[in-house]
Amino acid sequence: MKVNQELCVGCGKCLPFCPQGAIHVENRKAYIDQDACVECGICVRQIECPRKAFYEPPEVNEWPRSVRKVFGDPTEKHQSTGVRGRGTEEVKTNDVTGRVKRGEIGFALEFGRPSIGTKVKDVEVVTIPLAERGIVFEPCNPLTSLLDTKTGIVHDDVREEKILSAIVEFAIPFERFEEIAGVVYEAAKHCTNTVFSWGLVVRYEEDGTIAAVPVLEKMGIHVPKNAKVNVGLGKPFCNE
Amino acid sequence: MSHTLHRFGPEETFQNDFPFISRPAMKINSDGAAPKMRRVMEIALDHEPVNWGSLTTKQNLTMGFDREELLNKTEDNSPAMGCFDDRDKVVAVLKQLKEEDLGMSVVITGLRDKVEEMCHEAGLTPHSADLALGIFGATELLPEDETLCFTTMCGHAMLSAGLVRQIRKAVREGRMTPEEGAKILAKPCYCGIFNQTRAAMLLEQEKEANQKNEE
Repeated sequence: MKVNQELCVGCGKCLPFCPQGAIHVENRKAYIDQDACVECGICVRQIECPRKAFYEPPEVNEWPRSVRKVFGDPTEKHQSTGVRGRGTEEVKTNDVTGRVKRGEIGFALEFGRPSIGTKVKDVEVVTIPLAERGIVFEPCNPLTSLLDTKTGIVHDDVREEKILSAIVEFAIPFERFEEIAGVVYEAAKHCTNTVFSWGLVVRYEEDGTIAAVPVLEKMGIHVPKNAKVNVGLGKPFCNE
Repeated sequence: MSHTLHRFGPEETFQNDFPFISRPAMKINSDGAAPKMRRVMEIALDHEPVNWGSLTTKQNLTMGFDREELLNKTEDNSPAMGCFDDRDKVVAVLKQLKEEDLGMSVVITGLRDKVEEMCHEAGLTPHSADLALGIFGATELLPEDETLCFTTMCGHAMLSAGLVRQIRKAVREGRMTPEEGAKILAKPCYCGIFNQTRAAMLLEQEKEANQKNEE
């Protein structure tokens, strides 16, 4: 996004609104740091700019900068990666899709979240070691199209793009859970440029328990009580 | 994406926080789903969520929206998204959805044991869950915990730490009520999953703590 310098009066009302803190005022004019901007569009949509000086320049939709908008602006549908938004339906429709079945476990590692943002290349801290172990990344996730899925290396043209967040998403057989959780836990120690929020998609067992919880506790990974629960109302129902 | 997950804060602040999402599964039960999704929204809205939103109309309940306009714009792949601040209302919604058997998937976010209990009360068996394991990596880059409690209520990260700090300060200094502050903070979250009741409670708690410190 950019600020029309002819319109801007440098009032500074816009400063608190940018999620990336990319707006600054200099010589009574507001500017957006183009490296820091993730093209989320909140400045255009939300700031009550008295001069309506914020606008989206055409280059926002040109490759590779368009990647920023794909991963940053939740209000628009985008085609540059072939899929929409930052993630997939994951647990939301798991009662119908059976994306993660009993005996499997899904990982959703959202880089840049919360609040920090990330360079696309920063996901390599985990995608490379995962690829070395033969992990198959979720094909419907838009991040996957930016990777060499065999090596986990991010494509050259998008490496330096800063995005609001991106989700490394995959599912594995439960037998490999401890091994792969260990890889992620170890990778986190080398993740020095950003943060990631770690979500685990799990199927309830017949007795209502979740098999992953005691394994995580054994590994010393605290399991907070927050969860997103699919209540099982979808049809046709997948009981696998 | 998992935008209702990963809310940050002390466990006790989630007692009345229940983001709600319903949607069809693309290419499986999405064809012709618009009337069903419209009905899901009607049922949820009839039970007075604390917030509700739409990425299509780019509006949320806090900003004010025309209910009929929102319902009329429902398409086959439109998600229903909002937040409740009362577990009994959620149970009532789930019971009615079960009774009408619309076949659209529903997820409720919250403290897991509490949500499981609500499901059972509605006669439902939870199918699967997305567990939030927390934040990893360079956590020293994060805003302070008090601010994260608010920013993480918009999972798409549209609410900035800067705006949260500005509102927290205004409430602490008595220039704004917690309710007024919560309403401003809810605006950037078009999905309507930001919980103004929880935000007002957090702002009130901070204001009271600040007053005690000054005494």
